[in-house]
Amino acid sequence: MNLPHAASGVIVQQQGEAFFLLDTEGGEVFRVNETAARIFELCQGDTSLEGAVASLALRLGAAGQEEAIRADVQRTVTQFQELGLCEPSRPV
Amino acid sequence: MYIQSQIVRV
Repeated sequence: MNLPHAASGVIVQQQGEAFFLLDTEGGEVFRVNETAARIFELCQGDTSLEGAVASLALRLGAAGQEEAIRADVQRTVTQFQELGLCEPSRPV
Repeated sequence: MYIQSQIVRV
């Protein structure tokens, strides 16, 4: 399973320790924490769920917490889709 | 420690 692709026109912006997702087409702004920003960045590529889990565990210093990360990634990308920040999942 | 993602519309 791959992560859904980021919607066009949505960009990540960091100001200091704050992260924002800017929907330049819909005009909406979301403040997110680093975890959500990193997950969104992975949606901008062509990343598998397992690849995303491994990447986040390494980048966020959370080795050994893969089960929690996997559940959080799945919840987060679903939320991104509901907010229009990611494309709908393609039928399998 | 892993911190769960948070998203807030502003």
